[in-house]
Amino acid sequence: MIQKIGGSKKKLKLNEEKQYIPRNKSRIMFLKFKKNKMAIIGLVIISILIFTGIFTDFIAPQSYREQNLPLKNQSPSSNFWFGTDEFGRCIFSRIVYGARISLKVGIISTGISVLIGIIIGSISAYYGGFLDQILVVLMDVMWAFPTILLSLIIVAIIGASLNSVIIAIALSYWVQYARLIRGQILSLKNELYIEVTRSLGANDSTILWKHLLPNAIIPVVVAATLGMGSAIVLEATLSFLGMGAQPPTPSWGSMLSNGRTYLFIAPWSAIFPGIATIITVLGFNLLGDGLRDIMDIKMKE
Amino acid sequence: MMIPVFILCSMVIFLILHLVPGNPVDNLLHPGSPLEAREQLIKEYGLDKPIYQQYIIWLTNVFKGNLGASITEQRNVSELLLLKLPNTIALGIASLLICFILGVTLGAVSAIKQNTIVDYVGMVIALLGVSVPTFWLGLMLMLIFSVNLGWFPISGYGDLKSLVLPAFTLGLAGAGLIARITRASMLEIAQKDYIAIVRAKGISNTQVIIKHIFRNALIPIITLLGLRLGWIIGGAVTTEIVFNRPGLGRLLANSIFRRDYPVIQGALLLLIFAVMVGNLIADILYAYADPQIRYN
Amino acid sequence: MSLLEVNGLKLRFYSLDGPVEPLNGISFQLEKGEVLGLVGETGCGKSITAKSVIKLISYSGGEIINGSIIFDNEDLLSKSEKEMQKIRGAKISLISQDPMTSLDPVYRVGDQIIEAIQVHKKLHYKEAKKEAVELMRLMGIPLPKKVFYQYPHELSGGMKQRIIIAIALSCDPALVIADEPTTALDVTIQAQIIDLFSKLIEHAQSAFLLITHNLGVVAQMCDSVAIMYAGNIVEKGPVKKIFHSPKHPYTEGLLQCIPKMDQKQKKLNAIPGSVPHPRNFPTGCRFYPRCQHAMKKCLSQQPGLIEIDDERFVACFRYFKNSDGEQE
Repeated sequence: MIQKIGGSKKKLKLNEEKQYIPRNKSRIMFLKFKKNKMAIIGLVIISILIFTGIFTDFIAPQSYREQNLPLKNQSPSSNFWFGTDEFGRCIFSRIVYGARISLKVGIISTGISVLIGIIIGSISAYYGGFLDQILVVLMDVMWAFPTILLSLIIVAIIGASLNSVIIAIALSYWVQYARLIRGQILSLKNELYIEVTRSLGANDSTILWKHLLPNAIIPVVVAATLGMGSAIVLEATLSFLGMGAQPPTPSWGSMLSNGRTYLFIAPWSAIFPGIATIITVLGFNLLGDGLRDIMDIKMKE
Repeated sequence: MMIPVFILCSMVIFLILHLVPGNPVDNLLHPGSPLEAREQLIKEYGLDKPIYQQYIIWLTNVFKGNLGASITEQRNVSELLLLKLPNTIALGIASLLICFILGVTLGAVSAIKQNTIVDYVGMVIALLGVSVPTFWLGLMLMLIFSVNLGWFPISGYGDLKSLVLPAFTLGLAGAGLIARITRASMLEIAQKDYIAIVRAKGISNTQVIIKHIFRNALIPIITLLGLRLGWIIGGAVTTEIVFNRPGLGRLLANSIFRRDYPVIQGALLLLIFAVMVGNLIADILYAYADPQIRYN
Repeated sequence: MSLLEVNGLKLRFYSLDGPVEPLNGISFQLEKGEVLGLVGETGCGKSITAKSVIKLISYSGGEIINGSIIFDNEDLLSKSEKEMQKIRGAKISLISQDPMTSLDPVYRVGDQIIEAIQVHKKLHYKEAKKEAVELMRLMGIPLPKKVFYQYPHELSGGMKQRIIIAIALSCDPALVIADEPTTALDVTIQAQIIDLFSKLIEHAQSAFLLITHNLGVVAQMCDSVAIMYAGNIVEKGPVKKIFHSPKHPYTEGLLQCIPKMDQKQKKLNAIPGSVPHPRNFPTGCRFYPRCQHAMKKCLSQQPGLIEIDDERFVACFRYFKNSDGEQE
């Protein structure tokens, strides 16, 4: 039974057909509809992003590096839908190319993060003992440490470039996946069927790979979807600080960095990359939330 | 528990100087420094000794308050840190307050009006808050309130007016997450048995919400705030850069760009310390909020 | 005039899979000072009935769609939420199922008792505290002044239940609804609480609606009993008469399930089958699938409650007489 905080004040409400549609029922329908809708919007956004990333060359009217100095800092017009930046480059085209970069960063860094997380998490959970304790301390420390600072340090050591940003992000975000996997495996570890499998002669790694991991993967998928959004934001932040993509690469973050200088005379060069980032991250968040809801429903069954 | 963590972190911070490409000595000096300066450094830091001894020397210095001298500025690291610290603390506290007040209010209202338009809108706003990069929010706020409306200064420090925009930037960004957690927490508490009993006493709904549901819902929120301290410090870095506030965050970022290693190490140590103090405060608050923890 | 008269109470819950109606128009009465037992297995709708009487059901997502609830000559269904708040805790109070989760963990126990006193009796803290301590003493709580300042997690299950009972009695209500007050406790503590209840029933002037699936408790403490099955009341009347000669097949089955101490039994009796889920209520008589005496009529029609004797009601076609006065 769901307890409501507000409580319903009216019992019944008449509509034209003289049917009684109590507020409770319409609330439930609203909820169901809303949940599905949000996840679908997320899926649509991500699909558009992927589409843009793949067919970049066909969508962008110009190359991202094509300069046209006489036309610099123009406001949005029919020629340049999002206007031009300080070198006369078409902002719309740059944003389209930027989509590819964001996707690349998101997927690769999250992929590496998840991989590291799975490995460390499963080792920690499965073998337990002292090794587990050390790894848990390591995870706690890294979790508490500010992500930006960690990635700044890593980039400072490796040197600023898009690839170092990818590595930095990957190394900063693996902790949440490790924790998830560790938690899942710890709870599944005690299940009887492990004993059964072992008694049938399977060795440790078989147990780990064939039986434990498939069940534990699902929450990781949800976390990874949300994580890709965070990765993209982090890349934007690092590029904004000058630590990421170097010119003329049109990462949305570096576009924002440039746009900042001209914020007062040509604000569109900062507004549009920001909006693109927000919509993308929103898409991942919606999709991730939707997946989480589906997962919750499945768990309840 | 925290002391070994601090030791571990300090070891990592110490190692930065040795992980970076190049000779540590060269990395600590101005290009073109005289040989005597080189010799002196080697003596001071014990750079000719084995690495664990270097660590001990360094750590001892730290506890004495000697964090070395900045390479790029003509000052001691500790001086620099103390100079910039108050700004960051001010930003941290102000944004924490805004974050908490806005977030909790939004979350509570959404929970009370669950599944209505208010809830929907509230959660959309919260979702946006989570999806927006902090620095972009800062730029936009700057654009609207400084450039176009002229209400607040674009940059600067020291007075309350210059604190408003940066604090709101950082606060709004965090408020989204707090709102979501508040809503989820309150809805979860509302399902508990004791809430039904409280209602059966004939207490007004307002009292039930404020005195019982909200009060219990605070516990996980405080826990979360404690854990998010690292995030706030990180967010302070970008916010300080966007608004040109001379605080710890900007100091750290600049020193990373300029490869001013003593400052990097000093600032990082201070930040780790701040995170630990913050966690301690959060633990105390948490114990105060949850009687079950208090007595165990 | 009865203290509480519930007539034809019907509920509806909305869920993602559609509406559910767990209560099928139940009716019962309670006189001043009477102890009515409401008996049934888990899932038959007892707790929902308890919550509905004080109109707390809307907070659980339920809605009263039919029927009437008359308490002390007043129609509760027409009352606003604010008016109901004056009644809850003061005139009708509730003791809930699980004492381990029925107290707010962040407030001291004494303050939780005082809460209702302050709202309804409008006393100051000191006076309210005096009353609370006295109440705790009556409940058999040792060192009440000390326990007053303790938190729920510091107390045992039995102590918590005593606190909850104290809260329920704090404003001298005319009706106390006790929803399975002993089920969640250890057996030894159960005995203590049952003892406490017996004393309360003797001395207090409140009427009790005792909801339970424990027939022993009913036999010991109730004046009359109503048996619930799948959202219907299938039999009701004075306790002694029903226990002595149950009429409804379900009641018969329940009584037979109790192991007898003085007879040798090879197998424990059980009623075959299980309680239907509110979504899958059978058409016709809801006990039909498990009934030994089922007739053709039972498959398609639901029997209502009919009076077969002085104060006894049954809902079973076996006792229906046709217009000639003959049993069908």
